[in-house]
Amino acid sequence: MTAGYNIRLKVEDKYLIGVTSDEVSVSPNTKTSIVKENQGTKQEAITGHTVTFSVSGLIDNTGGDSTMLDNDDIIALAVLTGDSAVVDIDYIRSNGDEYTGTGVITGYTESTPASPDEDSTYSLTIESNDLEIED
Amino acid sequence: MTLCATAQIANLFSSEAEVKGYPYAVYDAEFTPYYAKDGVYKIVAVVTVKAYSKLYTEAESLAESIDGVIQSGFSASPYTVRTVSQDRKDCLQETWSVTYEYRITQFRT
Repeated sequence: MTAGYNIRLKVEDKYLIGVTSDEVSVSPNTKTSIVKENQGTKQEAITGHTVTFSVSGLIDNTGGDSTMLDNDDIIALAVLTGDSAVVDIDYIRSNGDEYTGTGVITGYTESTPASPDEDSTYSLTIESNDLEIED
Repeated sequence: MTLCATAQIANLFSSEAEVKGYPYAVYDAEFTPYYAKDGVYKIVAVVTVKAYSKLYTEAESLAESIDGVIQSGFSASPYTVRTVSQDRKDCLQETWSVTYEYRITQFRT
């Protein structure tokens, strides 16, 4: 069986409802420096990482269960401001490894077509700068 | 189809007729499951029902009876039914056929 179906993102300790796909992108944050000992050569050091999660899912009017964030919960989180806008995230790999940290919802979109043959969908992006593997 | 058997439309068969005489109807269905990470969230069945008879009115009447059962049987949650095409008529070697095609979606409850 293909890996991936059981790789899941949790936000505020809950799974997101109706997820059809998760994407993760890791980009290093670098700092460039030059000191006289380097004899004119710039040095780059990785100071951290920005991890971006992009989640695609279905708008599910069943509401899921208490272990899940439904679409109303997700949109409510997306419009929070200030310190409240920082959410806890867990990224669980298929081997059980878990990356935890905090993040900010940087985008939320919904698509709700009129045709009964098409699905209503949402997508969510979350950015984190402090994700670490949990021991 | 169970629904049609319940409605006492006995001369409806899967893929091939199991009677010699007319009228009769056959149906074919293709099921496609759609997945979210927490399981199947809907199954879409494309169903074609074809009624045959030596008389056009008899084929049409049988097709309409089956249509009535399908429309009422799948009209409520968790189902939606959409008629893709209806009343497609054909006559081959003095045998009439009337074809209805449906797209029936069953959602997770």
